[in-house]
Amino acid sequence: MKHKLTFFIVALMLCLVGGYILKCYTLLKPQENSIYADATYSEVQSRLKQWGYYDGPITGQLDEATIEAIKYFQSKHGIPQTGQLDIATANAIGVPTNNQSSNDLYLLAKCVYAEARGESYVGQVAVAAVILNRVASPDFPNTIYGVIYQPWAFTAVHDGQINLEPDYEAYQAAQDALNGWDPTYGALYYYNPAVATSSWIYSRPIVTTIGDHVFAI
Amino acid sequence: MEQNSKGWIAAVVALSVGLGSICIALSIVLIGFITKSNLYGTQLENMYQRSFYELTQNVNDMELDISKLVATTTKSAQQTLLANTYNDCVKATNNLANLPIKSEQVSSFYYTVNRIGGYIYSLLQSVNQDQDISEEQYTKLEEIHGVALSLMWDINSYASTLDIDYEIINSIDWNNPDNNDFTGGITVGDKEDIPTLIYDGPFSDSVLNKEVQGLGSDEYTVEEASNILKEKLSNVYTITNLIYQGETNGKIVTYNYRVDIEGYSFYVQISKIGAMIINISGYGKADQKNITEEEAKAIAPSFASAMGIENMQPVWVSADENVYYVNLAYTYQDIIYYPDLIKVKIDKNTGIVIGYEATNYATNHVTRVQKSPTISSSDAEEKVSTALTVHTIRLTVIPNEFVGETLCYECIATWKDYEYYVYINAETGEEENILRVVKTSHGDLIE
Repeated sequence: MKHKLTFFIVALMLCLVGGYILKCYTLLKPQENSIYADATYSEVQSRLKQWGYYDGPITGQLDEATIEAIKYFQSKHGIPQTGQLDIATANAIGVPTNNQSSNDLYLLAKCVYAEARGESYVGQVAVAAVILNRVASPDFPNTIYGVIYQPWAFTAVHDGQINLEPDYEAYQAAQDALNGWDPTYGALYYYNPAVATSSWIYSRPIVTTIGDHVFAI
Repeated sequence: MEQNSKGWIAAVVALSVGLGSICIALSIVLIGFITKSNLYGTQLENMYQRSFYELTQNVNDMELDISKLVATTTKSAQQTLLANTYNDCVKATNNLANLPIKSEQVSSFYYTVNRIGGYIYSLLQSVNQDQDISEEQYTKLEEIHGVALSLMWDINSYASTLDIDYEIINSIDWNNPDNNDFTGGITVGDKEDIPTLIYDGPFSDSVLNKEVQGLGSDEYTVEEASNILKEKLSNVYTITNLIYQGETNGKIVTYNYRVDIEGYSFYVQISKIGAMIINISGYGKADQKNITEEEAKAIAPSFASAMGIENMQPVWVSADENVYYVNLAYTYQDIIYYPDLIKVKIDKNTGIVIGYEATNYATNHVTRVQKSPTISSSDAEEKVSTALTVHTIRLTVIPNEFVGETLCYECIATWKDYEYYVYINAETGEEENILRVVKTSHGDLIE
């Protein structure tokens, strides 16, 4: 009896170890889309009103009337009637959601957060400005996504940190840069001299230093 | 004795079952990883091959379309070919951006194709305005064709050297891309090798090297600039700390400071020439919303005045959860000058200005010769589409797409629930631009 118990305990433990390995593998897999819609309710109300689903004022708030209008829209489009602006509803209405990389502000904020979240606020604005300066330069691709996803251009894109959710500070830094703030006045490159290994980057004329980053043209 | 041996057998069997289950689990994991890894690799290789194939096609099309342009005389054909060539250039740079080649190894290709695209775009604009392509421009197109031909030969001859089973993905040294075998046939050329292209358009010299006109010529030392900075900032802030942080030697040369006031820390830049405060960068995260949009519109021009800039009028306000962005434009004799723009960022909780950006003002503000409109505001209103209901008309000077300025009537109008800004040229009556207000969760935009 004692040995049977030993048998079961050892087998159970080893099965648990095996199961744990499988569980870890499952956790490593990319999760299904769980991103919530971040669209503006003003635009949603505006569109639903135009299409005859909503007749209230444009308040920008998800109030009872808007929830009812969304439900009405969902019922007409075969979407579960949650009254909420989930991804399917946002896509059907045609308003941006925060999982769309086509949203320049969101993509820029993601890159700023991934590349410079340890830097001061102005250091983050400067990184965003470099990306926009590249878009305007003939030496680089002509779009924000083209510049950000250019191979080996940004370490945090290369290693996947770009997919971290940006914080509000990174958003505001990206917004400032899109609004014209550029504390480097035209820099096209930046690097951290403590870790940069490319000899080429050191040949670029330096514009300024902000925090750990040297900015150059 | 028998019981002992049974016990050992049970333990060995249990251990075997356990180890077996671990091996099975590990095998499943390993097979899963290998299968996925192979699948990812194949998909990535396919994407690279497609981008390279399309890049080759784009460069071939570019050469073909430019060679046809040289031989065309009718405007409709010119418009089609110019638009096609511009698209070829844009697509070529997009496809190159997908390929695993380091930026600095292909910057000359980007430069060449972007400048050709810019020149073609400016030609398209002039043909659209019913202008003829001049003899000089035809000669320039012939020169550009030579460049396109050279790019085409390089890429096509490189493609012909690749074995049929050549895999770009296997040529990559991910940790040291300088060693990558795949170059796409793009040789590091010299930017001086492409023809001098003088035009006003995307990536033109006039856009890239725009002169800073609004700072004057007086140069200030760090000490002089620091005193001016302290004096101006003291008008609006109680400074607790001000530390000089060196210079920025960009298109505008500035002295940089860290400035602390109660509750905030700012990065402030004052120009070396003209001692103008160009930039205040600060971050705001309000927990209450005490300031209204109207109050923000009053705070912004008063702040600009404290920085020494007068006659600024709020022309646009956008907001997110915590801050207002107020755009101020220089206004003189009831004309709004949009090129002379200052942006002010205000904390919604405290009403304190936490950001200030005057690069456009510093770059563009000059004393201008006042222009007078040759058409009336009611003439301008008639030029606006009948689908729109016009609510406000005012005279403005707007920056042209690339270089220069145009006097326009700004007609703020609506269609359904959409709001539009329509710009009618005050001399010709032409519709110069139309913008629509787009509401987003991060404030209103005009696009």
